[in-house]
Amino acid sequence: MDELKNIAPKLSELSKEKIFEVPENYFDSFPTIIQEKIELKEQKRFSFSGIIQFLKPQLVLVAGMSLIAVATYILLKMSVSEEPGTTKTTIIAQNSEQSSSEETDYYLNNIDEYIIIEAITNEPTSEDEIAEEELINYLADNLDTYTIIENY
Amino acid sequence: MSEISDYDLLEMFKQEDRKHYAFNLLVRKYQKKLYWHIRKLVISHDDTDDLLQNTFLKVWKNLHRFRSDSQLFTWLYRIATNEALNHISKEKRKYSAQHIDDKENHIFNTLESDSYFNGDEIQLKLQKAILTLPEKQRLVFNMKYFDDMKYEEMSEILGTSTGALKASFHIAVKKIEKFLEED
Repeated sequence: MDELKNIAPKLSELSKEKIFEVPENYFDSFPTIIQEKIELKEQKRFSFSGIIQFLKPQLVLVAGMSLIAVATYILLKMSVSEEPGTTKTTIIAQNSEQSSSEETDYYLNNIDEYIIIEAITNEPTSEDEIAEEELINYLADNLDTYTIIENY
Repeated sequence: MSEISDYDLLEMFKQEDRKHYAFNLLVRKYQKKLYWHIRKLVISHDDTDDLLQNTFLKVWKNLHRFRSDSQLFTWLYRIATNEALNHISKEKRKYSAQHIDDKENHIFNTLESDSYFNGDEIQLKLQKAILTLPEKQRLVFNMKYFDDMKYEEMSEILGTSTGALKASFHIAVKKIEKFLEED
């Protein structure tokens, strides 16, 4: 501190006594205050971890299901994009297949088979043709609706 | 009754059934030193009280991670110092957000109106001089001038070289002397 005397004579003359005060019994009560705060924090921590513990099975279930859903989505997306450039055409094809199947169902349900048979039988025949009445009977007995539509 | 050693405190803290008791002893052992360390930096008792509580709560949370390769009191001082410096930075930001330019005057007024300040005129002037220093310089000055701490210990707490600390203290002393010489 001799160095201090040389560089700062005024400062070295001052006493270093404590110039601040603390409220009465502050240091006696402080450890108790800290202990109470710690206990409060611990209680909060335990109650929070208790909630987590209670919800753990449900959380694991939700997380597992989410994981499966995400994995399925990724796999589906990968399988679609494995055939490059076909995504749109596949969808169109699927749509057209779907619409064609719907049309077939519609015709099967609404068209009278007899009209079809009539149409077929009105076509020109060869020389050794079978009698018209026989043909109608044959078709009516042996062909089902699907075959008629397919061949027509 | 002799004071319990840091080693014994830490060993006791490791035992679950004596953990709280050990921590209570630790608080009793270091509360005054840390209180005065913080108080000289932030001046107000209420702020010091808050910061000291935060310091010990952090110590409680992290004491199990403390490795004995550094001294316990160095580690405690470091936590307390960080708390105080963070508080000062926050206050600074608050002042600049409120466009209060005369920050120094505000702190001087706090000091003068502090009911727990009992210094005379020259002591008040010294405190005002200390408050004009940048916070890191203020910290170095307080630790050396009031606490008579070794530069090596200060270096461990502040993570600064002893050379830089000596230079910082020298500059701080010069500034304070100049302030005291003024009317």
